[in-house]
Amino acid sequence: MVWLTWRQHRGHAMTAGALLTALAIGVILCLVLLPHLYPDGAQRCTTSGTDQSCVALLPQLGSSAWTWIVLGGLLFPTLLGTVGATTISREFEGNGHLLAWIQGVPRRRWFLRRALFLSCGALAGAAVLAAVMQGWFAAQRGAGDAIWGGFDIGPIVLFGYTLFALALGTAAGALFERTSPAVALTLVSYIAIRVTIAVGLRTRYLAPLQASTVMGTDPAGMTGSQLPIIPAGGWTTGLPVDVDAAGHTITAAVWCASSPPVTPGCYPAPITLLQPYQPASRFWLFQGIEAAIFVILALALFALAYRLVMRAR
Amino acid sequence: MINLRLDTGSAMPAYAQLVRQVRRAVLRGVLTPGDRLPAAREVVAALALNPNTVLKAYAELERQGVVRSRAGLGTFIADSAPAPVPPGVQRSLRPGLDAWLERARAAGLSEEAVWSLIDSAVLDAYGADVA
Amino acid sequence: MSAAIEATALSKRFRRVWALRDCSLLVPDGHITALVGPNGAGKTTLLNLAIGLLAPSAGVIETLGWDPQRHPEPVLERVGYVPQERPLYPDFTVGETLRMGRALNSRWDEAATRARLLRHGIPLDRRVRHLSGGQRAQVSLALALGKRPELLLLDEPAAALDPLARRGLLTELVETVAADGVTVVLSSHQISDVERVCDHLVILSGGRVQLAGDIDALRDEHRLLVGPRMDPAVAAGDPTIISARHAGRETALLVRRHAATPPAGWRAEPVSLEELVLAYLENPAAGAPPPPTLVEAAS
Repeated sequence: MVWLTWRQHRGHAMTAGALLTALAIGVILCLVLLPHLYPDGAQRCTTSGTDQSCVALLPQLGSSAWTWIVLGGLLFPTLLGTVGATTISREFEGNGHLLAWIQGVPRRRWFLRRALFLSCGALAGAAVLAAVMQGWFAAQRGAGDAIWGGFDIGPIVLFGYTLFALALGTAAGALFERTSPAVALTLVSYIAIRVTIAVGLRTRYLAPLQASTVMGTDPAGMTGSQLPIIPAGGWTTGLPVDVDAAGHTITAAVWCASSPPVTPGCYPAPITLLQPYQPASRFWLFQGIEAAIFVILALALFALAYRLVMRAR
Repeated sequence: MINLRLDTGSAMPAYAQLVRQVRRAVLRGVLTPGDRLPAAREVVAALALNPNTVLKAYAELERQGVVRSRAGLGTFIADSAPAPVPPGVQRSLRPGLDAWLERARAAGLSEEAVWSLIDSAVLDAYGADVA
Repeated sequence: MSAAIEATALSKRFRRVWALRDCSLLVPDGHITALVGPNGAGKTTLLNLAIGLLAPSAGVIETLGWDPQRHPEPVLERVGYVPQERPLYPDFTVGETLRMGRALNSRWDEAATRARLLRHGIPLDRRVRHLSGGQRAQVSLALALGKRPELLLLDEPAAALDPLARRGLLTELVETVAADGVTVVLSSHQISDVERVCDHLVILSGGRVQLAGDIDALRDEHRLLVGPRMDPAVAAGDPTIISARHAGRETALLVRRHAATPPAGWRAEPVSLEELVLAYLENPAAGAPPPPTLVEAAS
């Protein structure tokens, strides 16, 4: 079955390999070119200010390369999702109709082996991708680069996303038994679930820390420099919140300017402004948590696909 | 050797058709005792016939004494096969037949009508054996 | 003689529709059995149940003595199946298709399979999508025969083939049966093919078995009685009358288990297989004989 799995997914493997190679070449070229163009280093370029073209070009190069890399990182799992969807739907649809299943291999063995091989291939691809990403980051990390900005293409979550996409595609293929709806469902659900978890859940993995500023003046007259300061590399996870001396949240911080208070509903000092954030030190923990979530989802989806496939129609 | 054919859609079972073709060939003198019939596998391949059908036909021919099978050598027309109609009998029956046909033609019967009459007569005389 | 497939009160339901209802039949070893019936009669369902692709809703089916649901592996090892669609992977070459067969089956005769395809002039390096319909049918058959099965199931193997390709396929089939003694079950609409190739018959109609048995024996049990015009109502009431046709001054009755001599004024004629099958299909109430035993099947 090894040969058969390879032969059926030869095209997919070639495409993935080509994408990864292109990505790797692009990254290597950037890393090689930049020191040549700017021998004094990227730091020198951004701080020196003498070479205007350098100052203008480098961020541009960096950001467009960044875009392509992020795209590559996002595209790879979705490709895996498509692979998963077509693998099973092909067995039901048209010419491949149950072909493997009427030869000598029963469905159970076929499914388990196929899922195993594809998962290994997917994880290997994810490993290459993660290595490429990390190579890029290591060379590009400068002061002020927010590590959290690259969360979605971080090396640990990539394994989770990849396995999840593959399992999602497999379940969709088993559900619809036809390629087009399976692929469509896979792409739509993958995007929906990733976005939901990234936006809705990620900030909550651990209770955020709070940076605070005690305000001695009228909050209405406050300037930006008085906002709470987040340690370097931290990730702000929400809007700042006003609390009173006892720690209760105040919806409208109206400070009682005088005593006795003139404005009704005002709050006496001190009023504290709290800014929730996640520190950089938690980055890897969060990567692990999110990856674990997606791996659990992946296993559940594989189990669902297995049941759908084994259910005698 | 003999060319066998199958008429699908006939009311006569396949094996019976093969039996009849061999018998007729023997009666016509096309096959004589000692002639070898094609191997069952050859008939199967040539006519895309069920092997059991061919074996059944050959078994029936052997039962009727038309053929004899010799292990490893093949199936041969037996000495006990029905002899072709002896020329003497042919000579004595044929004029009567010719005369009857002449009368039928004079009465305006087409060839088709003649065959239909003959079929009914044979049916009545020999029992149900319609082709 | 043993049974290649044995079904007892076999039923299969898809949502609300019963594809098979209370079917009991025996497919004997060492014969080529035809499954005949209108579309939707349950022929494909029966074959799928025999190979284990479907599970029964009620009743039992055993293939070569095993329950295909509980013992899929021995069944798949010994049973070759060519579904109606003749499934093949279009971008595989013929050689890769054979390799797949070798990879997925524990028993595989590569040399014989190659020889088979060579006889039909099918090159190993051609992609499946570039083969003609007849060639694809031969490759599908070769794929099923490559594992040297004891039982071969074919769902409308000659459908949509030109006459030459059809004859080529059937010839390949009977030659294999003659050489290897495979038991075959094939479903077909072509009675002429059935007559040529099959010696056992099962008529499936409306999900039920109407008639089953050795073809020559069945034809022997039925006669066409031709006689003077009779009252249609009388004919309709008699269960041994399978079909009755009244035209002008004559009535023709297709009967089962006739007396040795027909009644006075009637003559008995043998029936063709096509007449027999059509008569049963046109009369859904006819048939449903008691469940066959091995003794009956052997006769």
